Amino acid sequence: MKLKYFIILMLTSFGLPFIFMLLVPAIKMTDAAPLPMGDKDSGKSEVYFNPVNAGLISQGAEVYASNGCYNCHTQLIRPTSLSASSSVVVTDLWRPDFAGVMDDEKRGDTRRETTAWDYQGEKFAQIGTNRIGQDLSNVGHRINAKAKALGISPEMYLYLHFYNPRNTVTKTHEKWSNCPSQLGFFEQVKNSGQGTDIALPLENKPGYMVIPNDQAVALTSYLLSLKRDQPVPDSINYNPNKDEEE
Amino acid sequence: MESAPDSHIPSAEHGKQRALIDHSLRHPVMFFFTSGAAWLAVSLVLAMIATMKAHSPDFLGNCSALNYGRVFPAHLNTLIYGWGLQAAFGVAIWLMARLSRQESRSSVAILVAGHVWNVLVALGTICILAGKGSGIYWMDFPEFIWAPMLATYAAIAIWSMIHFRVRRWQHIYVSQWFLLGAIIWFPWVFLAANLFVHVFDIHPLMVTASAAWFRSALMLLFFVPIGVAAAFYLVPKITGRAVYNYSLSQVAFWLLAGLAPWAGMQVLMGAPIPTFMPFTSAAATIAVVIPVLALTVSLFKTLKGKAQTVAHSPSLRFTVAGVIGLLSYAIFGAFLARPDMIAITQFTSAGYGLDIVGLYGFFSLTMFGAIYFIVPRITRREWISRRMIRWHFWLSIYGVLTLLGCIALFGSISQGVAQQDWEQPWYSAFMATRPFLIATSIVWGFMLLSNVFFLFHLTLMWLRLGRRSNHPTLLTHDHSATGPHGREGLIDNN
Repeated sequence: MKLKYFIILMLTSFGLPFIFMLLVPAIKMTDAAPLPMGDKDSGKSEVYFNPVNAGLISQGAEVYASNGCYNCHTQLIRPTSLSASSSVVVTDLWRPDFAGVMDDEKRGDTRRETTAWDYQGEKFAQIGTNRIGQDLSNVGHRINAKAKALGISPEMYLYLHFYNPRNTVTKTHEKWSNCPSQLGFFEQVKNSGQGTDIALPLENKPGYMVIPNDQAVALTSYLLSLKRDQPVPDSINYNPNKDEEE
Repeated sequence: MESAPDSHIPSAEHGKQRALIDHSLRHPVMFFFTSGAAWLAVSLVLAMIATMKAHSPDFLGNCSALNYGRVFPAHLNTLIYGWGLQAAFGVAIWLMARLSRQESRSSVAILVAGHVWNVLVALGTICILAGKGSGIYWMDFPEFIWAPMLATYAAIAIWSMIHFRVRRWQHIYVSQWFLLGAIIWFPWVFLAANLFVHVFDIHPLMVTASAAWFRSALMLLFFVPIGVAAAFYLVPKITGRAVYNYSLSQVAFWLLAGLAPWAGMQVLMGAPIPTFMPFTSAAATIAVVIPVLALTVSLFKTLKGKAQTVAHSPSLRFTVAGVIGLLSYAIFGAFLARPDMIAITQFTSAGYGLDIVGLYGFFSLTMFGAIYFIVPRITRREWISRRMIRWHFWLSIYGVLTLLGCIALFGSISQGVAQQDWEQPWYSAFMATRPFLIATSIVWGFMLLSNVFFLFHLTLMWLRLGRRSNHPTLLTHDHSATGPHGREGLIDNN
């Protein structure tokens, strides 16, 4: 084979998938046109707006990435059927607390699948690879509910969880968990004065308290921001009952 | 086909030329092999810690650097960049020089680049363990590492391209096709993926899709061709036969080139990316079985009737096991790419199991085969202990088989089915995973033990403590005096 043909074949075989699988989709998805909430008839002409994560939440996403949370946790609610021909049903949407809130007092059943807008403001969509732990698409709602039941703040719930996921003091987990304890997120400081309300309620050396550091605070605000169940435009709402809701 | 008579050069000249090539590359090749084997041992230790942590999180205390989320990516990245790429470098530069009949005149440059590569891998691994990783599966090294890595790669691989261009023997061997492909594809894949992930400001989902594409492309367009090149060199060489059907392997090369770059995004099925992407990738992953089958058929036809040789020769034994591993990798990958299977196994250990079948069950085994062949030639010493080779082989095989069964197949399906059971709390899905997490620790125990033998043996060879004999180390019996190597005896080769 002549060198010329070799180069042409190599470039074509690699270039075509590169253009069609990476380049064009990247350009199209990055420059997606704003999406109206509904068509003219439904009277919802406003543009779909998803608050872009910034500040502490973005820092928290970096803590999430660099501590490898993605190795056990996913952030993707898949549609019930992955393909028209598939006989296997994906049950992400059916779990009561994965895809949203099943019975929210005000909003009713908010469960929905993940949309491309849910990851806006992040550098990398942490879809994950393995569910050794739970899906975190709507972990913010779950933490809020559990913390409310315990009478503590959602932030404190997460601090206690990071400090020791197998703690029994607050019974944050009904059963055993294999989540690693993140002691690096906490520091022991001298308790001078009145203390602080972010100190963990632990049996401690007298005169000292354990408080979360910047990483824990950032990660907490990121996790509590994960509430991917806002209403979406009609054009990407696949809920079969969407007309009844309105 | 390597043994085809070369009418232009007398055979003594030939032997001298081979010796000169081996001599010119001995330092960089041995460096890549020994440091690669050391990284493999590091990776396996990290794998042990990670899997222990997965089912017993308080194992080794609560040091942040040893948490699952850091140790697990450190294990995979050292396996890929520390061991995989370095073993590939060693085999590729040696094989290309031999097949192109060109001595290396740039060993020093390669050796220096090899040291830089090791420093970069070490730096990246320390960063991951220190909590500075990028958080992208298979690309966990921090952002600043990729560009120097690519430059170092160029400094290592460019010489093989030059060897090929100025080759003395015009016929292009099957191995050369695949080596050339791998050498060209790696920088394309690595550069494209890293630009999309780290440089361009694109939609976060497309960053994720590029990373998924990178994993599959690195496997199918780098590790597979390098392993295949080693197999297509060793099988004809050791059996003394010509490759069965040269054109079949050439067709397989172009099929792989045409199909593999489309694969990889099926792991994102169900994510809100354009639907054609995961489905095209799934189809491509299934179609990759065709070139792999063609290559396997070609290799086994070449091997036909040589079962005794496979049993005797450590190189051939590892290579054949690796080729079976390649076939399992392709078929298992195709099985997992069906939308039905993706629905169940998408977020289970199946993907990791598949990666390890590919990286260890295929790639590493063929690399071991090549190393058992190359090292005696460049050190001019023979392997010391057939028992150590046997232990290395059997423990590796047990490890891979347990892994395939426990994690990749039954583990992932049982995990996936439990996850699908939406009426049960999530805890029950985790409990279905736990026995297989424990089994994984046992797998890595096997692998670690087997590679401790390997690393020890290789280090002795590196220190030039090998047997000074004219007889290769065979696994089942001693040489007969009438064999091609003559009587057993010491040779003086300083």
